[in-house]
Amino acid sequence: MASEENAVDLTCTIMGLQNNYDIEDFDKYVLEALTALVACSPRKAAPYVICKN
Amino acid sequence: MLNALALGARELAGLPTPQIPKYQASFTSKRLPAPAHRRYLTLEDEADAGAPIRSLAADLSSQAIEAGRASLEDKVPEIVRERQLTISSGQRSRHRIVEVDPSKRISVLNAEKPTTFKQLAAEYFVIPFISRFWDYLNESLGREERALRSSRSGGYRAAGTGMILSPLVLSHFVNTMSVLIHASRHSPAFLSVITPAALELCVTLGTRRFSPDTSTSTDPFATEESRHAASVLSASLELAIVILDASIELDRGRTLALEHGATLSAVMMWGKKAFNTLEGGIQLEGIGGEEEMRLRRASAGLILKLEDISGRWTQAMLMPY
Repeated sequence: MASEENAVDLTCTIMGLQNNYDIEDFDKYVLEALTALVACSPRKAAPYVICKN
Repeated sequence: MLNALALGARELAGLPTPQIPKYQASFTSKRLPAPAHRRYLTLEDEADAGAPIRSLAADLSSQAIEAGRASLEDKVPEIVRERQLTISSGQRSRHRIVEVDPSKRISVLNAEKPTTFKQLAAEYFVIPFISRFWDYLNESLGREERALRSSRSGGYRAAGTGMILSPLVLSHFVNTMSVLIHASRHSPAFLSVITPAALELCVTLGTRRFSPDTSTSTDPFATEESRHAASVLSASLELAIVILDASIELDRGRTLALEHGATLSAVMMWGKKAFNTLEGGIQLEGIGGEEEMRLRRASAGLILKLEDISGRWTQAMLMPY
């Protein structure tokens, strides 16, 4: 579980990932990672995702 | 990102989350070579990224409509009598054994989260979500207005300004809003803060056209955009149904009717106009098939919810109906 102090950086990094190596189900993994961040660190991750949307 | 918000909110609230389906070609023996297959599938998946949230929002509004139907059936004597006189089918439905879906079981860890999400929903999810949209809308409309004034040729439309305002993304946005609203219905601020703000957004999105005028466009994908136009209206109607159903469930619509009468009246006028338009046989642009059914069901369901609230509080509202 990511700590809240790293949640914003981690969210920013994951949102900026590109599928440079043609990884299968890449979008699904990114979605699952972002969902976990929003569920585990809602006070930090959710406002950041909304702001960058 | 919208999917992550909706699914994260559902998970935080301890509600079941839909599985993201993996696309499977029906004719596997006729697949393209692997790299090309993955490339074309990726494009289709991206075009339909909002499908899980769209079906979830449709399910939520269907549950809301069915809940209202079940409560209203008890008030109609003919239906009650018919139900009492029905022997076999009635007993079968009462004693039917239903298999429990493992994916819907709430785990011990999740059982603690509804309390946490109730406290966070308004401050960190719903209100920032709505506020961000209003800010973006005001910026986009102001930018286009300034461009129209300064240009002689009819205006410069930047490539990115219409992104969130295109019907496809807008319907996905509204469906995400439905999921967030449903998950936050037990928040202390739901009746006083979330409900009026969300209803205002609902009416605005359901009555205005935001996407740039494509009537003179030679873009071959313009017809695809117009096909999604009706989905914005149906998504807005479903969002209104979810909000009103939660309001009825919590206090029978009292707070909404007495403290936010103007907003409720606006929803009434919008709902009646949409219902009368559809029942009058006028087809909206982009409508047809499954989308038409969804739209008609949502407009009728909204009318039922509005009747449920106005029937109790019309006299107290002191507003013309």
